[in-house]
Amino acid sequence: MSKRICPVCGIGALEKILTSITLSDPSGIEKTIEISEYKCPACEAEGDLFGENDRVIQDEYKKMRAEAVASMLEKFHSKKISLSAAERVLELPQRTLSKWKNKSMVPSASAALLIRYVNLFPWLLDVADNKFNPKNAQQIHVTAAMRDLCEMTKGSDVTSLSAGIVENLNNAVFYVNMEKGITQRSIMDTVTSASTGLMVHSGACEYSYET
Amino acid sequence: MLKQPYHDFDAFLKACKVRARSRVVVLRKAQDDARNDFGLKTSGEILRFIANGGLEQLEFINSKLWENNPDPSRPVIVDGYEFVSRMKRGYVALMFNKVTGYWTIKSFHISDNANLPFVDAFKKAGFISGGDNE
Repeated sequence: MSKRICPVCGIGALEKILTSITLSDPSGIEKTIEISEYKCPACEAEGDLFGENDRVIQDEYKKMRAEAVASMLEKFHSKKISLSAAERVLELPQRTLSKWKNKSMVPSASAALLIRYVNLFPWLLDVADNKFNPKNAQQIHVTAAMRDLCEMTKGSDVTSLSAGIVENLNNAVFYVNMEKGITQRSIMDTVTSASTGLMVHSGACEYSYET
Repeated sequence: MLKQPYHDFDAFLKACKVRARSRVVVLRKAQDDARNDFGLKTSGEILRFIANGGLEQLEFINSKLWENNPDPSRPVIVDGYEFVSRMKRGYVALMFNKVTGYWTIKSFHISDNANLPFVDAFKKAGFISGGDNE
């Protein structure tokens, strides 16, 4: 038993306990690690009460990050993204991505974030390749969004798709309505009929897409 | 239940800013929730987030007695706040023990009330009414 007194209640003598925690990365990688924590028998406070595990946890996240980046870069080939082209576009020194891919170099948190974004939205490379020109970026973005929207409706029983903005004096809500049948239609009807008095110019910015 | 926070929040912020020999304790549940809900991986990250003004649009919710207090003759009060961070609405509960001089972060999670920009937008627009937290 430790001689430390519980900082939460000031009464119990803290007990050191071994516990396991599961850490997860947005890529789906999970790791369970064992850490030592404190438990107060008097007030039942439990945890890493003095921040002693911070370093261990950070190190584990670092390893997971390296694994996640390597795994994402592995998939770049199937997405027809050339590493050298991506390095050029992102102004990274050549071979940087290869080094991250074979884990000979650990990417920083911000570098990992960049790869996550590019993995999720590969069209960001086109934005960068257009020197972040706002107009081009917008076109690339909207084109990619429309392509994704079309993909989303394929293979589902969506019969028609519409998007628009409903607004009142203070707020606006952008909506996408995927019509599957009576249920979906009735939801939209409810929203629009309940709010007719609040809507202004709703017709002016509606878009339709027939599948 | 108090209508004003019992503790001085600025004093709590000051305590979060002190990096060495911190006088702020984060309980296990709060730590786990902060990690899962807000991506704050360690207690150090939680404290730095708070110290750097991460708890935006802070709103006092209520004060309650700490239920697990082993010495009821010395009541300890827990203050609960809601805050906003980007699209998330969170809830943080903290208390200060005058005996130990330590602050404790008891809860740090997505607010039960939370959500979502769409719900908020619909509420503001008067399309739906709604269900605030207790």
